Amino acid sequence: MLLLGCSADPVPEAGGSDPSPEAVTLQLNWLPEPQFGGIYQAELDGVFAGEGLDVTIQPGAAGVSAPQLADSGRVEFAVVGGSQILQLNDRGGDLVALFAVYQHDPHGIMVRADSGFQNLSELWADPEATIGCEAELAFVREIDRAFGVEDGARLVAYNLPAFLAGTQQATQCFVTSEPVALELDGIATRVFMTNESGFDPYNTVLVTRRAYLDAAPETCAAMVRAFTRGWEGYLQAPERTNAEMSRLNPGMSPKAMALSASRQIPLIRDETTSRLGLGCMTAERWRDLAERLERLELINQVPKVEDMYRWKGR
Amino acid sequence: MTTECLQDANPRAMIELERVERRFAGNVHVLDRISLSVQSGEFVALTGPSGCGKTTLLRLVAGLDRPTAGRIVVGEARVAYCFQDARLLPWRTLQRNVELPLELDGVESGERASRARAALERVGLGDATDRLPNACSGGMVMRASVARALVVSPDLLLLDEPFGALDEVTREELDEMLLRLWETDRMTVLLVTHSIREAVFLSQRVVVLGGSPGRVIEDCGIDLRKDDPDLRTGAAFNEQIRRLQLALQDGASTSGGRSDRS
Amino acid sequence: MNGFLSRVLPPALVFLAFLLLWSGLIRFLDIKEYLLPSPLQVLEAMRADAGLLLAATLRTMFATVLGFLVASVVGVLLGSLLGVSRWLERGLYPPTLLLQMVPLIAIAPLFVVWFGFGMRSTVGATVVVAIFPVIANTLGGIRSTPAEHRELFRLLGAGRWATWWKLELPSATPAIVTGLRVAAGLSVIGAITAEFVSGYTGDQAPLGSLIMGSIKTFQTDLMFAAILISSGVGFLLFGIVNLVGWLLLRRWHGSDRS
Repeated sequence: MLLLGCSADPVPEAGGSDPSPEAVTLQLNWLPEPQFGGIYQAELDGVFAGEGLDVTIQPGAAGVSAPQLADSGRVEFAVVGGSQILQLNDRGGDLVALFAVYQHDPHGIMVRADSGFQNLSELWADPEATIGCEAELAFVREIDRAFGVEDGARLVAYNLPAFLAGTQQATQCFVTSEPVALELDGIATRVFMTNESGFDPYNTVLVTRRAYLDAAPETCAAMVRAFTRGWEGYLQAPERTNAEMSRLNPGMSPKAMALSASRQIPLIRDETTSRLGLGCMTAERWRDLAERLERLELINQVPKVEDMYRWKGR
Repeated sequence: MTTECLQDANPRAMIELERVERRFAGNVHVLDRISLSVQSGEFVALTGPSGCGKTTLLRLVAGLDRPTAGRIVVGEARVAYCFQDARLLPWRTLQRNVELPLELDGVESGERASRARAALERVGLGDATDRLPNACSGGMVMRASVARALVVSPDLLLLDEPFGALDEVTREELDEMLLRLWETDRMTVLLVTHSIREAVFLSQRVVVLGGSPGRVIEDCGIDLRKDDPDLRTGAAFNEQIRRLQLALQDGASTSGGRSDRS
Repeated sequence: MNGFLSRVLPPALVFLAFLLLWSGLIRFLDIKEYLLPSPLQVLEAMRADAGLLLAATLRTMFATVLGFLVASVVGVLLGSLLGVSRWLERGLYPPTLLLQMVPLIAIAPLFVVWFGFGMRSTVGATVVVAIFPVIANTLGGIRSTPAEHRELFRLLGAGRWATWWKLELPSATPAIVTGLRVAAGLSVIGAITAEFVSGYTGDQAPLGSLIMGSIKTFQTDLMFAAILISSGVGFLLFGIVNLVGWLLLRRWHGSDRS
């Protein structure tokens, strides 16, 4: 029984291994890092193969738009930011979230440890300060909306060398990335996490386009299962996967990978995931995000959030 | 009227050439031991067939070139040079073109302007001072070139076939203009031309170069009344021309050298 | 009136046909909004964000024009310097060429570290991008000064400065104007590209930052609007330079008929 629109292979049965595995592509939105640790773990442990999946993991780079690649069908699966899903869907896209690796937003504003700023409010109000950030991103807009004042700090383009040179007082960061690199270089920093301000979208979310989900629901379910097992394995013992990722991404040493991996644990595992499982998502949180995005004028209207994600058979 | 040929040079010479030679690369021998003397206030025409070195000689006098051998002495004099092509700067009006030598000398702008306008007036271009060269005829452009030479009130005026590219009528007009200017200013003039007619009309003395390399083959005074309005139709005039033409032909067929004819 | 119509009508019709084709393609192929907005959506974005776009345009225009002017003046001076002696030219031309070859995207972030954010490094990057055609054309124009004119100046006893100012520069003006035309187009590209990495973001954003930002938020209609406006700025600057060139050359040389 062949379903319309899917590949010529028959749909694999739940949990069973199939003689001809389903070939899919998974597009990441950055280079191999602990942020994708569970994914590479799943590959190394043969979890994908065990689920009947032949997954090509495609690392991302600057200029690669993972959400658009998934929505256009050029790839079957992608890893994107939570806000991006709602924003793209608002503009004609049709993505569905399947698994939220990061339960909490990993972005923050980084300052040097010895800087005088106590909180974001102080920083945003200082007219002498320049802050490197992508001001159109949702979390920056939210902070700006909460703390922005007339004649306050100036927002400039994200530029890490400038921050290191001292011409920027603060810069946006990904908590597992820039602060880790700087710490290993001996530069102490402090990070004001954006999720502390109440804006807390899911991140590193596995998505597919709705047409594919409707056509190959079992493949998608298999993918979610693989993610769960991969991440469980990685959270327990990341060393082997870190070594492999460092080989693929020589810009990050295994030591940096280890530190980064340890920093991300509270973002991945919390009280909710112990109840509902790794990668879980709730309608309340999606709705909160949608409402905030609408208020920020990043989307035109609040969608029916139940359509935006799929969790445990919903 | 008889022609007289010059004997020795006068100590009050404006230009003195002693056995001047000019060779170019590739063993091109253009001038061969030219000795010549021009007095202050003389109008001398330098003529000869193409390629005999007339222009080269003029350039040597002007300092635009150096002789390979021999000596050139030019007296204390303000020198002005008119090129064969007018060489006006195309982006400047006639007046501004004529002002150029004064500008380069640092003359102040009000005085520059009035002197330039006066010079253009003298050559008959008083109404065209604000025209650009590309809006002027060939004759007008040459007049402007002469004006530019005159504006510095030169003691020595060097002209290299200035009217050679113009038609007969314009040429004769400009010749008359030049003669009148000289009669007023009485500067020393050395005019290179391949028109014997023009040489006889304008000058007091015609030097004929010939042969290859060029040598002086004739050096004759012109003793004609220049204020005669029918000068050009007169017998003496045309006779003089014929004699010089003969000298030229002879010079071309023999290897040249100074000749005394009476 | 007839002449005017025959000049304006053909491009206008082509433009209209293009708009219809654009809208038609979107309708027919059901192209998603974030991939290719329709002309109406782009217009709507222009209207909705008019204030933002206008402020951004003014900032970018200022940087572009300033960078262009600096590139023009310094370019003519450097080109003249290279024209002074073959020795200088041989020594300095290769490094100038090298600077031209380095991709702007790569060095623009460094500009920020050296010059600071916003206008300063944008102008700096614009100058770097736009200066080369000015240098090259000035040098070429000076080198092709007619030898007869040089001889005239030598004869009249002109010094080096006088020769440069009164002969070489005016003589090179047609070539310089050509160089300025090219530099005008490059200035816009340089400014916008530099703004991608060095511009203010947020409410001080110039056009380049707006374009980058709109890509990230999938606001392709705003991106198109900003890009169209950028092209407009380029056209405007090019048109002004053309006009100035025409005025200069018409009066001076009578050689430029366009």
